[in-house]
Amino acid sequence: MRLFFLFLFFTVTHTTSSQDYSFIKIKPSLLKNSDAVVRLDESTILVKSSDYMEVTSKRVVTVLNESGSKHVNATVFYDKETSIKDLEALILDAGGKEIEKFKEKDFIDQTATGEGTLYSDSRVKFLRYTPIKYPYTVVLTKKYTTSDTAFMPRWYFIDGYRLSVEKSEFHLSLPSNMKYRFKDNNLETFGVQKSNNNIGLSYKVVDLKALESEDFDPEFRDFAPNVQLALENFHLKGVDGHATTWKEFGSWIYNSLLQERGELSSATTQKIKNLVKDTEDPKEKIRRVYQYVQDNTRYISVQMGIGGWEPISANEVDRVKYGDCKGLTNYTMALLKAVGIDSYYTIVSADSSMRSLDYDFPSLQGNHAFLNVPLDGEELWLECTSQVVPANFLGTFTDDRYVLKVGPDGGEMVKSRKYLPEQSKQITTAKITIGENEINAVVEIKSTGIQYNQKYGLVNDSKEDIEKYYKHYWDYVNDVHILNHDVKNDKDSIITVENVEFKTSGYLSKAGERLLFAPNMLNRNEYVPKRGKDRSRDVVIKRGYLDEDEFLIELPDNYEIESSLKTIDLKNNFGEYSVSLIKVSESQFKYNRRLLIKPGVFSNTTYDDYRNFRKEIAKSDKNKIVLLKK
Amino acid sequence: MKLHLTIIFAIISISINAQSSDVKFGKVSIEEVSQKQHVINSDAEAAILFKKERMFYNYSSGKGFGTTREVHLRIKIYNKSGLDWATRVVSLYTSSSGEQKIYNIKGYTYNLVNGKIEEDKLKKEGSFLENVSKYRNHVSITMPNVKVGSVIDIQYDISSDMVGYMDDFRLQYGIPLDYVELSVEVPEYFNFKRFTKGFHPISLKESQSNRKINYNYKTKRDDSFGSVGSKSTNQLAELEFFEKHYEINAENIPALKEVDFTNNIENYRSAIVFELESTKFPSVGYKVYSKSWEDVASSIYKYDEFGNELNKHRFFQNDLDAIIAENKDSNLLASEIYKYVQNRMTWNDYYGVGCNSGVKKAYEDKKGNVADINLLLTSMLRYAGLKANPVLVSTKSNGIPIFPTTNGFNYVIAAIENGENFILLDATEKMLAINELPIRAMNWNGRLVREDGTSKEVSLAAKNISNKFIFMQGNIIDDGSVEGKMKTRLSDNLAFDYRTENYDKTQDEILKNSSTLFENIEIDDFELKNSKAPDKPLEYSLSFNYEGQVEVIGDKLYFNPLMFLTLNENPFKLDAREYPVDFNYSFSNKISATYTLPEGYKIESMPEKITIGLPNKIGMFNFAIIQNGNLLQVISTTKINEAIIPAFYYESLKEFYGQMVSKQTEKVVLSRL
Repeated sequence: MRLFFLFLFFTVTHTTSSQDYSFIKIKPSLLKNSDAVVRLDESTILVKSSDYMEVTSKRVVTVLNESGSKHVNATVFYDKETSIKDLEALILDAGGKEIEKFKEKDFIDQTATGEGTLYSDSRVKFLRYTPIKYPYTVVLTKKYTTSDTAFMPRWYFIDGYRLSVEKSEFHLSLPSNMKYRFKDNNLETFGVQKSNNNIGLSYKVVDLKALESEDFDPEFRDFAPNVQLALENFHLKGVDGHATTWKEFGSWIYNSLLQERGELSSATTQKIKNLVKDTEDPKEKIRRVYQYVQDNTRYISVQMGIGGWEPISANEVDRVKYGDCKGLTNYTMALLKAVGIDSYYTIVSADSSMRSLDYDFPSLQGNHAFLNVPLDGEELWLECTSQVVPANFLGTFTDDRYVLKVGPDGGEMVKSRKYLPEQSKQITTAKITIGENEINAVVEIKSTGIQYNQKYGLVNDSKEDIEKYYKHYWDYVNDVHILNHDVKNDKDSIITVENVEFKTSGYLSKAGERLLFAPNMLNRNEYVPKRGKDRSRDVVIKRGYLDEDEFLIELPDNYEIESSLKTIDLKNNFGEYSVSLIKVSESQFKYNRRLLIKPGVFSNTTYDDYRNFRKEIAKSDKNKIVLLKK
Repeated sequence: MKLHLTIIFAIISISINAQSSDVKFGKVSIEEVSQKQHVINSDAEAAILFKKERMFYNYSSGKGFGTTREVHLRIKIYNKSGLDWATRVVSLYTSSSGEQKIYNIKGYTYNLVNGKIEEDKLKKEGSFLENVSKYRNHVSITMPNVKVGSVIDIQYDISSDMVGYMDDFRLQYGIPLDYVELSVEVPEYFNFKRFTKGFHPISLKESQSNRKINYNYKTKRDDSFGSVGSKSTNQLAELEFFEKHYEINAENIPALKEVDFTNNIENYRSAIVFELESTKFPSVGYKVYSKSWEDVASSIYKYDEFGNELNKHRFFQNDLDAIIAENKDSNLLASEIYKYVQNRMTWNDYYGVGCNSGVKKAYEDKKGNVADINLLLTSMLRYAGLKANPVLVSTKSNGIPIFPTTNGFNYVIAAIENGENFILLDATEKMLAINELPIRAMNWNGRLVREDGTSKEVSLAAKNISNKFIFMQGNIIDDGSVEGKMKTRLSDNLAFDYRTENYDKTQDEILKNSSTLFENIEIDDFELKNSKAPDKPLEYSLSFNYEGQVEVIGDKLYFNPLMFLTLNENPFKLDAREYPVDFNYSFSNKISATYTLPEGYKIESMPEKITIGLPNKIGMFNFAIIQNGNLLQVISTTKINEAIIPAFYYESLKEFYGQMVSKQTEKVVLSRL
């Protein structure tokens, strides 16, 4: 107890004395692979009550080159609940001498409404500084107070790649009667020191070397040191909360943010009942209600105050026929309830990085809402912001991760749907007719699972855009002339069927008397991962898939194959790849290809194997046969 | 060649006989609501069925003239991608000197329900005013109950106290515009230039009418016989004047969508632009804003942030005198001053014709906006006795400056006049050589403005063709790899692009990047020359070992004659194109490769030489291949002589690239002896 105080005291005096931030003081080991060096990153959170906290921080960054400027982070967000008390930046030259000073009014003040949002009340102040010379140093001090204690900032001792850290410190201090929880991750390997007790926490680390990003990295937060925090009693945009478990979190969301927002007018209730009156099948009911939502609403995001967390009422959505994810999910839930089907508002961290809500650390997390409908032991999922996605389909935005299901009994962590590689399947069949100057291809592509995710949008594209899509999809085929195309989206079986016919005069390469033809004309996988020297982290492949291709190839008259393809059959931990070309008749050959990519976490030592596997595929997909005139 | 200029500005005045409509806000027809797809463009996601704008001047006794712009849009949604058109964002200018405000926002959504039209009214909660930045507010309007098939009526008014400024009137979009009615009514006191732009012809009708306004004014009566104070009385007066009316009625303006190689789509979409030329108020008299280029030149010199800044030199005198003393030759002197400014100054990424910090402060801070830096440069050149003047420029993102205007420009560079020749200088980039410009500034013509009020049009196109010359020597190995050496020399804008991209990088980092450009390549002995010397050609050399470049099929070897430098893909994929292709600058790409063949192999076949050209010498491709013992020499030259290629050459250009690709991908075949 006593010691802890001393420690805090020591750090405070230490930083108030003036520091030498000249470039030459940086240890050479911290300059390696870095674009910027964090000389000091210090933050203190002082919680005074469940609805008031002060966050004071000082960040000193020496920027070594242009790419390093992004690590300055001279940004502060604010809104009605958060006010900036102190904001100042000093610019130092390489020698550590002050050359410029920016006060709060010199920061640029603008809306923080992001892309895809119509309006939000969040704003941002940031520093816009044009360096005249590298290196330079920015000393940023800021302080803000907020009543939103539901969000305790997560502390990263190192907050990006190509950035080294001289010293990073983090302190939390709060009244002894306020309970809090914390979880720290990956501290040991980075040598972070810590002390904690009932009135606070303190962490410190020195000399963190810069990390380089690598292809197929794990998520940064999964290997970089960081601390998560949460208060047991918290406050969010004027609403009090209490939670220590996901169950309690769910209860809080249900009782404080969702209750009584699901009422519908009797007219709408009647209308929706009529919609399903001729069916007893609950699945069909769900399908119709979801279709109704898709045909009658659209996504408009407006985030104001608690509206950033609380859905607009079902009645309101029913009237204007638009809403954000929360509003549309809540609306769909209300409509389903009207036809006697229970469903669950579900919170997820949505993006393609497949990030789970933290299973072990219940706190306010996630950025999206969608709907879970349990049905006879099966879990159905509805993404209510899309007008086109089929019922019970999840794309890369929300698949395979821990999400929080919210209901009257509280919250429950469940995994959203995972697609096995065999379910994320693309089958391409084609008839390729080679003429002496021109090739004609009649192609059918069927896609399901994650591969469906990349295709269903095509249905709504214009003819022009679809043609453009195919020209880019087959960009290694020159001079593609689309003769006709048709894309069908079967929403019941969740499959797209594309039928395309095109001709090209730019695919055969001439070699004197001979013609060179690469049989894999329609589904090449040319991607080869970057060469990785001294791979240090695990290789994470998030999603797998399966491609099956069968092309019937008709040779031009009077030509025969002088040199054919070698049969390939590869199998390893990363997947399977096989290719064959078989003679069907005098003028016809059948090309078969199968590629299975498996998801998984593989040890760092296997990176080269993975790269070689992909290299082999890329090479083989380009292999050519030689045609010679008889 | 000036072909591209005529294309952009060919304003064909075909009068469109559209009759004035009887479309009224809030009255949609059952046909409009039940329409399933656009009549002409069945692919359209949405269409603007009707657009009406009326802009007029209103007068209030307290404030004088102000403008009001009434807007009415009727939009039809055909499919789900079109739903975005149910949300409109109106951008409003705001500052201490003038402000645009929006009011009377009204809207209805119409849907067909059981054969009847049902309407939903836009309520307050559907519109949001947001301060985006210091000079800009946004009003976002989102309509209720919109689905596929809906028709939306939106109406709003924008008032402005900036009486001399009108936003452009847009007449073409990414979706079809079926009918547009535009009316602009301007009191005789204001004289505006008009210009239509874009490919779709639009004709403007002009007429006049009389207008009367009643206004109050106060008169002060001074008793000159010693009584204290003065009395004022309100007087009512009537002012009669004539107004000019400009009208557009047009229909069926097709959608114009953006494709690759486009500089700024709004350059090609039709619009009408109004720019204040002069004002003539009874009490003030005639005042010219921008009538001719001469007016632009003389008026811009009157701006404090421009003309004044060119007269300040005390702060740099000492530094500059030293440079002058060392350089007697005037060409050398110009180049030394240019380099000095480039080295000293850092551009803060802000555009502008006027200075932001002012040249003196910028000089001290060593940074500033475009005008701070280039007016400083101009001023220094002048001080050194050179005939230097600023050149006003409109950047590519800003569009093409179509008539004499100061507003139309957003960038300024410096020029040294040397008889009929101009040397152009832009010191915002450290890696530019003298007489080179960055792509953003290479937008058609600039306007050189002299102190005496004269001006001159100056072409901003690159002065020199940018050359890329690659010399390669390789040994072909019978395992399918090729090893050898390569030397690349870049000039002008190609060199500038390379230098800028790699400015910050170490040689190792550049090497790492180039290895990832091509898989399976190993690069060694990388050496970069003149990477920081813009006035010299940039050179880099390397040795390489490249696996899999030669295909070993059976006992034969097949390879592309340009190996990994082959152009494998035609960049032009679309079947047709409506507006010019912008290459930014003319260029030439010459590759000379010499291969040593592996022992025990002979050439069985190789591609034939070819020369193809584009019409009017716009471009040419030359490919030659010669065998000499066990050496094979290939020379490939591609030249595009114009930065901007008009759309009617698109087919030729696509064909040209197609032939180039097929020639470069034609294989050399080696077989065993």
